[in-house]
Amino acid sequence: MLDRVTRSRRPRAAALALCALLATSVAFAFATPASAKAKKPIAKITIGDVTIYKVGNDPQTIPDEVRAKILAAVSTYVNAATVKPLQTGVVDDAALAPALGPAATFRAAGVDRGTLVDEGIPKATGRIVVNTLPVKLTALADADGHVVVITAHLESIARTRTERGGITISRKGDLVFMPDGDTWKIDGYDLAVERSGKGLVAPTTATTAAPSTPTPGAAK
Amino acid sequence: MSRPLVRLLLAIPVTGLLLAGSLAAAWLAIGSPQPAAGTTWFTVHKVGTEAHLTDAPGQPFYFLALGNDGRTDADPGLGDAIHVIGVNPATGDASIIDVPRDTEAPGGGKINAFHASGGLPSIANQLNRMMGITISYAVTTNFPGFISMVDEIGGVDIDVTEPMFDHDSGTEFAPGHYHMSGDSLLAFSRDRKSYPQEGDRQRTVNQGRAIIAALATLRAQNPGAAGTAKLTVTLARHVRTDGLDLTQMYELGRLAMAIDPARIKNVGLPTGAGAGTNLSVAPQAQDLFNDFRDDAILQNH
Repeated sequence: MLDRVTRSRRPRAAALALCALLATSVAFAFATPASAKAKKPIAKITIGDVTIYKVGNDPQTIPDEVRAKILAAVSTYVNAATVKPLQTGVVDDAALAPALGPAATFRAAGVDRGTLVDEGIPKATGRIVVNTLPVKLTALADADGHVVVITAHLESIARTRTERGGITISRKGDLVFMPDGDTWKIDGYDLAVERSGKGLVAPTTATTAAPSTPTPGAAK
Repeated sequence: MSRPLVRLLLAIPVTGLLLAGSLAAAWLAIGSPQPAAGTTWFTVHKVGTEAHLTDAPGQPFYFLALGNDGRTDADPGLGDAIHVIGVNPATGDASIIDVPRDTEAPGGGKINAFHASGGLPSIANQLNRMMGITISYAVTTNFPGFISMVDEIGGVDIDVTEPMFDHDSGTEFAPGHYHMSGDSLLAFSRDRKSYPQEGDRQRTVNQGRAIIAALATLRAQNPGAAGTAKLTVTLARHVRTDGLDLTQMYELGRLAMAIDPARIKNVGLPTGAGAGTNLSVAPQAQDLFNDFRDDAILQNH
């Protein structure tokens, strides 16, 4: 008797627990706006070595608030240029825009697009993994102690699976940041990208350097 | 630190490169310069009112690289090594027109004298009138600055194509490939007597070659974006500037590093006999100027 009662209560308790769990999950899903969901970033960017070349005696290093802005801009770039295209199949130009200065914006829409962003890549069907080395920063400071240029050395490798097979995107090079009002934006770059894997129709490599700006006008 | 003083300290990698060669020229009158610590290697002026990097970053622009024979920073000297450089950022091309120092200026007299009397803006104005262009930037250096600069970058690799043996300039070069120190490159850039026929005209073209060689040497060191920042600061301690800030100098440096030396044309200005020892601008030079002024590049020469 006792045994029977015990057996009959166990399934009932398990069913109750399962229902409670499902109810809790559903409640959370509906109660939390999608935009407020705390997602773990796929590409986690960190700052590595910092070097400063200065005409005068100051500053001793890059100010914290400037580092934070550079870090945010690099993260924005990596996510918009690589992660989003893998997630959705298209480049998120709107998300990329805040990280680019006028010159880089111009080139990102034209001659350097193939290097700056991962356009035309099949959408990922598996987990996206992005590994980056700590970003090395090099700053140039004027005689008044103002940091006027910062270069960020980026090395990242993104891997995922698509319906056709795996994809690896390796991007390496320098992003050149200059202040734009209260923010820092990419003004130039020396970048190389290599895309490989069976998930691609054909492997691609591209290298580009943009010393400063757009390239309107043409030769004869 | 005051703004003017700040500007004094600014530097240009790019210009440094280009000028590295350009400086060479001239200084025939000077003896054996001894570079001093903290010396000014070169002076940079923004002489144009339009078409500079910040306002029109992708547009072609022109700058003047000038070697002067001033013995001190206070002495502007004659502008004896005159090189007008056109840069087209859109195509990554550049062209140099080498102007012999004795060329007659539109304003009358030898063009090199305009630097002594009116500085960089004055000689740039004469070249603007001659070629129908607007020079945006001008850089100049003297013997000590030239030598120090070349030595600082570790010397310059250059090919000597003809025998150069001249006591006055100090050349002792059989044809071949050389890694030249500042002293040697200066001698190479000053030698005109090894060219009995062309003389100063060939010397001027050689100076243009020295500019390209300096750029090639720096590019071979592959400084990258971060290395260019270091180079900018190094040069900033040895430059006088007027109208340029450190950011613009860095951008110029980056731009210079982006130009493939193989895509730089180096052409001597066609000249003929002029009044006295002057050289007149040859009629065919107008075609050269037309080719130069539309996009800063010489396609047909």
